[in-house]
Amino acid sequence: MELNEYYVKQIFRSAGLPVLDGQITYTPEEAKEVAQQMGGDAFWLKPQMMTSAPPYTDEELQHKFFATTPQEVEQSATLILGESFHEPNPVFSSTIQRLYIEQATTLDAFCRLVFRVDFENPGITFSICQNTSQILSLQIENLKLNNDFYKKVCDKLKLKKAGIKKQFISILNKAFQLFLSYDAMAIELSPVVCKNEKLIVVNGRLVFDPDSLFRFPELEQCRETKLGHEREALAKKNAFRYTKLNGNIACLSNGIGLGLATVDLIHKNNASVACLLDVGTNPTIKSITTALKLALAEPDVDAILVNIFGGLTSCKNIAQGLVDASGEIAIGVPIVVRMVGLDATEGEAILRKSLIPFYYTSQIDLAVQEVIKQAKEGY
Amino acid sequence: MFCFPNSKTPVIFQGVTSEMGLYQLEKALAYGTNVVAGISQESHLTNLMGIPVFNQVKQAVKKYAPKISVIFSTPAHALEDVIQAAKAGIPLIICTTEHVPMHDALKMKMVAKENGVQLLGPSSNGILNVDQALVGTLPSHLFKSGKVAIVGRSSSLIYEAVSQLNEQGLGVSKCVTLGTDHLIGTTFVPVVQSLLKDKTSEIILIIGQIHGQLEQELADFIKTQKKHKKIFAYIPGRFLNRSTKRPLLGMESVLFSDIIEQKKLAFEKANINFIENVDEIGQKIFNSMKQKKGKQ
Repeated sequence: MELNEYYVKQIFRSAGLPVLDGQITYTPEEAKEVAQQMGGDAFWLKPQMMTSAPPYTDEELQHKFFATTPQEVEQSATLILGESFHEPNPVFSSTIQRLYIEQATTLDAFCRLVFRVDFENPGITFSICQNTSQILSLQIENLKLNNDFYKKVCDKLKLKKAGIKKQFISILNKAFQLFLSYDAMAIELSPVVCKNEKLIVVNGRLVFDPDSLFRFPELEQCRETKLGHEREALAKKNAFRYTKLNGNIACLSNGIGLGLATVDLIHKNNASVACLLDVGTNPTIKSITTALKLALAEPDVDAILVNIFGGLTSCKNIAQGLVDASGEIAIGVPIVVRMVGLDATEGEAILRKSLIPFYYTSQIDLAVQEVIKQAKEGY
Repeated sequence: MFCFPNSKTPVIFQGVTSEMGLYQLEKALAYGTNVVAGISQESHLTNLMGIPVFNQVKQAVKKYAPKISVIFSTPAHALEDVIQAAKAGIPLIICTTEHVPMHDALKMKMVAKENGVQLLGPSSNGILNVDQALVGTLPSHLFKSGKVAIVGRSSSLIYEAVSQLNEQGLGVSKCVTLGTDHLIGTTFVPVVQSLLKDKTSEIILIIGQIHGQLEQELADFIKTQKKHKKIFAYIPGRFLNRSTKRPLLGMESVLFSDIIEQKKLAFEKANINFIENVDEIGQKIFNSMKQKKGKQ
């Protein structure tokens, strides 16, 4: 989970990291006022939106989103606000509705750095990049930074001046403390620049762990859904996982392993999956209903495969969830159900009593063949 | 090395009064598992289904010297419970809690290492030693006794494999679930190392996962073994797109199909049979066992 830059900057600022002055604005007049108050002769107008890629490039910061006077800020803001914004993955369009007006400085990176939870070498890894290439990567032992660590980093960056060294170590410490105190998956400072012997954190990211958010309820109110990821967000709220793919068969499964295996099997048979809905190991009836409704609302879906292996999951709940969904939304596509394990017989009985037209089997390969056939032919 | 529980191994349940704790306690007792005590910090109960209940792990340790603790706590309390069990010196701690914060998982791994105990999980479904002991949340009714040992990360896929083995008239000797989380305490290597020596297991089935390097680590270990039992492996996820998440500094987003190819290659170099499709698991293992019988 990530937040917009202007929230991240607030967090950085209150942690004592050296960031530039800035404020969020919604109108050209506001933008001008903020620039006037801040003073100076260089401003950035940074679009703020939750996107998969950064909402602006370094080049844009030097031209399009750059101004030298409050008047220029106002003029540019008039042009930028309301402008449409396109995202390639997932394909999505929106308009720019707010700008973070920030004092501008150089973009020549002194360095870029990241502390992250490392899955490949389990632990915490620190990396430093100059330009785009990584020049140093260190494992942090025992959740602590020590003198040996500072020395290695400063040596690698060939830091000689005591003033710069001191500032840099302070940045490292504060960033690492933020990373720890938010149970974060990563903190990225990119770039850190040096102007008139002063280090400045020009931009950065704090990547939160969705599983630790219960400890930080205050983040909930600044949380925004990423553009084009509304379905993922709805799924998360209802305790299941939604993954968008490019095909025409929706696949509802319990447990990510079984879900992925089902996707593989469908693709192996030369068909493709529209979305994978993983309802987890112990789903409620309501989450099944929501998941099915979500699948039915997808325009590309021509058929649905429900593949459930009831270990802890009761097939009765799954069946009831499907029946409940059919009461709330019209089922316009064929459904193939494969349920085995806990309460499978009872689950099948519930489905048979309902008015849902479905094909039932206990064999995974048969289920996959049937759903592919039905997706092609319809009812 | 990894120690499998048998019907005599003393086990405690932490978080025993939670919904899952109660449900699994009943199942474990019915299966013949030697559950010696339950731990519940909230409850005033002193007894549950004939099992004494304590507030603190150390009270149970003093009296019963359990070899395993199974943890059924909420994500907010899991770390605290692992610390209690580790400090009390319980040799194997199984954390079944899902959605444990990653920093907590890191701390769990640290505390297990400091205290010289083995941590299985978090997000593990535990261990089933068929006809001996059920420690965790595996649905024992699915498992028939046999000679295939299963070590996997995803539990739902393990059930699928078990059901295919059942259809082929094969059964399972031991089943260990490592957990699907990114950060887990026990990897494939120590479990497989023990299974290679286990007399009740003839064939080993590995169910891997896209994320992480555990499969490569296992392949490297198997390469050091001169002669070993037949090992099969399956990893799902080949047809998923690459992640849509913005990569962190200095990292690239990699195609999932490339990751699976790398893992497959590592397995094949280590003489581990890679199963391409999930519906072939039962059949492939059946054929291999038939061949072996034919040779004898």
